[in-house]
Amino acid sequence: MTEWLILFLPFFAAVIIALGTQRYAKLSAAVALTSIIASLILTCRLGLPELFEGHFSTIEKSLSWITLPGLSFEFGLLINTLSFAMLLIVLVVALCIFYYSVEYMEGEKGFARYFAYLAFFTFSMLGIVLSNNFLQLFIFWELVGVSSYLLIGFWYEKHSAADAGKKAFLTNRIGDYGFILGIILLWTLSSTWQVETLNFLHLANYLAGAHSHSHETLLTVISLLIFCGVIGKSAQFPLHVWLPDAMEGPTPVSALIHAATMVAAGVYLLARVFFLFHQSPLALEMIAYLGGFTAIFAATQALVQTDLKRVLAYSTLSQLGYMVLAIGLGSAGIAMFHLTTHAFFKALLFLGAGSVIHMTHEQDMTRLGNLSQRMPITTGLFIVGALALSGFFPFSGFWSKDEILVLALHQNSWLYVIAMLTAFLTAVYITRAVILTFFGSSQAEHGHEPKQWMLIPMILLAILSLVSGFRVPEIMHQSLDHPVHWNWQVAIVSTLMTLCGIALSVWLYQFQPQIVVKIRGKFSGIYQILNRRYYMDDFYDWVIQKIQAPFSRTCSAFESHVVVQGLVNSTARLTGACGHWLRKMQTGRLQNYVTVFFAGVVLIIYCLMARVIS
Amino acid sequence: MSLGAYLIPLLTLLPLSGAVLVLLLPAQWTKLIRALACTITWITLMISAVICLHYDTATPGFQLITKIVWLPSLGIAYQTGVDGISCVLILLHAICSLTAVLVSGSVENRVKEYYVLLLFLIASIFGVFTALDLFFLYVFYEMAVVPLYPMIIVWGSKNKEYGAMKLTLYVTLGAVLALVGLLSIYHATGLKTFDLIEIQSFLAAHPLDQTFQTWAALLLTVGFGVVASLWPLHSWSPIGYAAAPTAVSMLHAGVLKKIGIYAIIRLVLGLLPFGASVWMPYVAILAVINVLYGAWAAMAQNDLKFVIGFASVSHMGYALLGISAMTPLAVSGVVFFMFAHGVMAALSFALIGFIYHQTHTRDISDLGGLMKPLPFVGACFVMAALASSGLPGFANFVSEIIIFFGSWQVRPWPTLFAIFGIVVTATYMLRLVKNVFFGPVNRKWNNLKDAASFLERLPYGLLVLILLIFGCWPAWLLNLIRPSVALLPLLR
Repeated sequence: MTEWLILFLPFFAAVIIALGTQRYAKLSAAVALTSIIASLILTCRLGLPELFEGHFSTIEKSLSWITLPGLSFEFGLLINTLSFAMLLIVLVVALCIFYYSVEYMEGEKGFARYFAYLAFFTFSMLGIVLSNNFLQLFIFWELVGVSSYLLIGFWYEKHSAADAGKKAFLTNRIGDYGFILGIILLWTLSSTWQVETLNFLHLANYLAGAHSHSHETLLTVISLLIFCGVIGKSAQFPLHVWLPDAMEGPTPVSALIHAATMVAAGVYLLARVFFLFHQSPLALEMIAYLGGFTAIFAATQALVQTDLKRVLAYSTLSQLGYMVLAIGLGSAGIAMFHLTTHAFFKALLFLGAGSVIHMTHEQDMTRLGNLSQRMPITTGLFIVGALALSGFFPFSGFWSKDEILVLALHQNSWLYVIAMLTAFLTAVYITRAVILTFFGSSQAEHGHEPKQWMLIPMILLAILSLVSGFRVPEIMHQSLDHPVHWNWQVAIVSTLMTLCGIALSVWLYQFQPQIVVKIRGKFSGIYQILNRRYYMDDFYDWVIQKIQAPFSRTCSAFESHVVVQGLVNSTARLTGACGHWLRKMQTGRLQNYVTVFFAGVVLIIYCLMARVIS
Repeated sequence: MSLGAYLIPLLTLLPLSGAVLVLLLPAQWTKLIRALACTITWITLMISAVICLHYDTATPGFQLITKIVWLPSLGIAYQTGVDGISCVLILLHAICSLTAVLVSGSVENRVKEYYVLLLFLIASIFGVFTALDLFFLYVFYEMAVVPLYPMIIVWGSKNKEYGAMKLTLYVTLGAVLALVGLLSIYHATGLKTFDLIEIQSFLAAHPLDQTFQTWAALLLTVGFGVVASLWPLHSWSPIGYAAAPTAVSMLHAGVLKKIGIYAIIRLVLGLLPFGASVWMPYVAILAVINVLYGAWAAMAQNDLKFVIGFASVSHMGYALLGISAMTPLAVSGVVFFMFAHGVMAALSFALIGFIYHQTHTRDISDLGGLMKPLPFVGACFVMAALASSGLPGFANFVSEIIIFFGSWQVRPWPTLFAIFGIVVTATYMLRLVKNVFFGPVNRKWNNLKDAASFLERLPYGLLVLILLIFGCWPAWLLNLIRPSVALLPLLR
């Protein structure tokens, strides 16, 4: 019962707000917050001590949902160490963001609606975390998609917000097309194994026991198709385009989507069903390269963004690339470790950005600056997040990134170089963001510290960003795989990279801004490419405008000209012509009848005569 | 014969006698007429629910059978009864009828005639789904076509003469082809009866000649395919819906279209399994064209009703795909899909009717930002759009996924393409939602009135609720469907 309640409490909150308390803003927020707190308490009671002591026992609950000849779906929960840890992360970050939103969204017209969406979003995410089979996971996967659609498009009266929500949903849908194909194929395959299941545990047991090498190609195809879903949800190249646009949503929403939920769901899925990907080295290799590419690809774009939230968005893309890279290199535990630390420091960074935006009503960094004097606490907290992101010793990001780097070093030196370069770029862009926003010359006119509603969650997240580098890796590794060995060489190189990045950025943006302008002038071509996001969005726009739209117009024109005009109306005209022609048989004029009658008589007489004569 | 068996002819007779009663009432008693129509459809909904609950899935054949001999020399009898498949469709029709009557409150001219025809239409469709006699099945089907023409001509909008004529002629054309098919089966069995149960059990033991089956199956598939808007015989559907008044669009897209699918399952798959297996590979290809072509054509439309009309053409492709697989799994999915799609289509047309009644335009480029003045209707529309895109939580998702799983095993390539339909559908649906409901509100729409009272909200709320309930607990309907589908002579 407890397990079901953990999942459904936020859902009930969403329903209660939607149907009952919508008119009362404060009450609605209270309902949503209560549900998250209750879920969190129930989760902790489920086995927090066991988790830290390292002997969490797996719980599985399952109901039959659909039973048909040759098809049976169940609805169930599977709580093992991995999902329990993820549950905690999601709930803690969600709680921080719910709490923060109370002040951030104060006075907003759709305040109650916002909390209903937020609760529904959390429910969907918990569903992904707890699902015990592929189809159910897909269901919640889609629900996360739709709730992000609603949240990103929260200010639906703005065209840009409505468009961004739509873009997020549709981009995800493209990935989900692959995902569902993968699930169907997997079901077919499991039928040939006589297992007929999509249940994670059953599949894992089967794959562990059987020597399924005869199906390796098919397993690769299935893995890659399921990975398509991850490409969409975790915003990997080339389906990453929705994520920067998703910044149109309220900032706490960005924090929630980008930190512990939604985009993390893809990585979590990979870890959850790693037993499947493990079967296919080829698929893993492709995943690793794609992750590495996304990491550096996004980091370069983050260098030139002027919008504070967009810098963070590209940094999320880049960090997700790291996680996917880790999975591809064969370590789900390391990916989950980085997911955890990233969840905390990225939520912190977004909430920090949120308080800047909330207090100054400005998110363009070129118009911000020197906020450290007016908002010292926010500045401090943001710097903690920035240091954690750039992997500075001893912040949490250092430990998780280090493991990824060591892993890459052992397996693929190309990817190691890419990951190291990305670490350098990360330090550069996030330091740039810190300096442009909080230091340098002041341009923003107002701004002061937010109240406790916004500060407390940030402080909590800052503490977690500091300490989550410890203890978490053991938990993640005990459930998934063995940790990598500490490597001094990697640690020193990466720290140097980070320091260089920070130093370069401080030097350029704090002390020599004119050099930045010069560089930008000299390499305007590259700058333009980066600023236009490698023309990816332009490319998609081009596809939509120049391929999809003409194609749909062609279908429509085919319909009206060929099907309707050609087939239907010409059938009608043919019928009409026949009628017109036949009508002459019955003109109603006596003369015509008499003529025909007379002609007939003549004909008959002629025939008779002819016979008589012959 | 149990007492419950009388409930089934009652489904037809009640709305029919209602129509006669309304005919006898003075035209100015509009309130009474409306109340009467509501009451009757409400009772039929209750009866349908009772039938569904009463249906015993342990003996999945036809149940609650009544038989009134009509023309013994030709073997024609008014025989009624239900199995799991028709139970679901009766329930669907009862739901759509009630909501169609509820949203008809905005009809103001010739109220009496309107309700006479509407009740007549409702009665005929019940007749189709309950008839267990091929003759009466056909007669009720033709009866259903009769009121469509005057209803579109009198209460329709936008190019209504053309739309009405096209729809009626097309559906009649399909009916004629089907009639030839039905009569040929009647003669081929040599039983001298139209009794469906008798024919079914006879054909199960003595399958008809393969050549005959091939041609009869072609006639029936094309004939009923027209009503199911099988490509390229679909073009009546968007134009007809655009012209029809709201209630007719709802019933037509929601229920009448399903008669085509229902008849193909019942008669082609059920009676002519060999003939079906000859044609179904082609149907699968046409179904994919239905899905993708319909979806892309919908994307280019500027009239709200045309978008939904093409959407319904596109969605019927999934049903046809499921039929073409001829497996119990896929066909169960199709039956569930008919229910889900029917409710969703009725909901979409009801909402468009509401918007049109308020704004007097259906041009998407004219509308925009309607969410602000119409929050309730907007929310319902967003849900309808999401249901249409196959979002989990709505019944449509469950049915589509069952069809995909089922048809994949037999026809993987068509299924591969058909699934892409979910992406295209989401694209045009969300674009529609964005263009009509989101963005800044046009000043002239600031004073629109949302559905506020309970009675005004009831039809939309009810339809949304049904989609959600059966989306979360599909087992309630699937348990009804599964045993009856298992009786059909399908692939194993």
